[in-house]
Amino acid sequence: MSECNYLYGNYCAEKRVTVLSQMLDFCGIEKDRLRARWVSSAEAPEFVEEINEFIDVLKPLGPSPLKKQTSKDVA
Amino acid sequence: MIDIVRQKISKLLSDGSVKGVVALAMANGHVAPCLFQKEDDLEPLCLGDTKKPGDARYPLNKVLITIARQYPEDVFGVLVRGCDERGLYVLYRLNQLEPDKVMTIGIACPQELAKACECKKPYPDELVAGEKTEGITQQGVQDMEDMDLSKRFSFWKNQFSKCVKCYGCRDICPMCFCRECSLECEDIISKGELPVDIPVFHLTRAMHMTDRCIDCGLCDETCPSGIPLRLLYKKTSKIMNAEFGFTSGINKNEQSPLNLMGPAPEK
Repeated sequence: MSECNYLYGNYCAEKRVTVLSQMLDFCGIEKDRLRARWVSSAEAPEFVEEINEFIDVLKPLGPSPLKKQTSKDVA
Repeated sequence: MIDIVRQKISKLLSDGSVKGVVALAMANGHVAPCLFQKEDDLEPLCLGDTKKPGDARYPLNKVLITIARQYPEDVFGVLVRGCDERGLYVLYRLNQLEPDKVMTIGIACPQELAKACECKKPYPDELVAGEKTEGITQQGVQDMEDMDLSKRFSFWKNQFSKCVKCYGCRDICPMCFCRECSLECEDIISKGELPVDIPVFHLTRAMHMTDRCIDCGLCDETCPSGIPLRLLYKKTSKIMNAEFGFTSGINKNEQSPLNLMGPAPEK
């Protein structure tokens, strides 16, 4: 965490994510749909691993009931 | 109570300690914000009591910001209730007003108003008139948390769908002072479409209120669709309190943990 190029930016983001995830839960949206992780741009395998793990969490949850119909869906 | 307030304002104006006082006036049967500048001109002064005590409230701090931006060198007085004073503390913190350019005339809210507002602290720290009454315990957030996830989802979906995007909640909010508003940023909020983007519109505002909202309840009073916005911001306040031990507007010199550089402070 303390190695951020923008010094404290990730700490600030982390605090806000803490609040937002609880707000999502309060509004009835699964908070697992939100995730924040810190991966260096030099750590490609770690990034892939994180995303794959996230996908494994998201898939059982299915598409969001709030998903908007795009023009593509309508046509 | 109003006589004491009138005397105080008259004194501040006559000895020249303030350039003007932002308070409420009764004109043509309506209550409106007013800048009083002459001590012999205080006849229309009122405390916003029409049918019930304090049932006409206005974000006077917001009026004060507009005036203070135009006349940054002058000192102004402002009529404050408990909520307004909390708001002033936040505005000092966010560098929107200078504490030494503001003189408060604090009035305590009667029990009836405190109850109607579900106010946790219905009196200002610096009290000029009125008796301190007890704060009210709030229940709404807990009730909502006790519902299960799908019930909460349908509740808020219904509520948010009612939004007509009038921006009244933002415009009345004494804590909203930005010149550019995220709610008008087309990358986040689509323009000219109803229903609003659920839950983006309301959660964007809620996230901006996390360390600001002083729980005055004006948003709830204003919303033409009756969306319980305040309940949403009460929850953000509760999270801030539980996670960071922070309550917006309670201590005059407290910094927000969200603005502190670095990790969250120890609980």
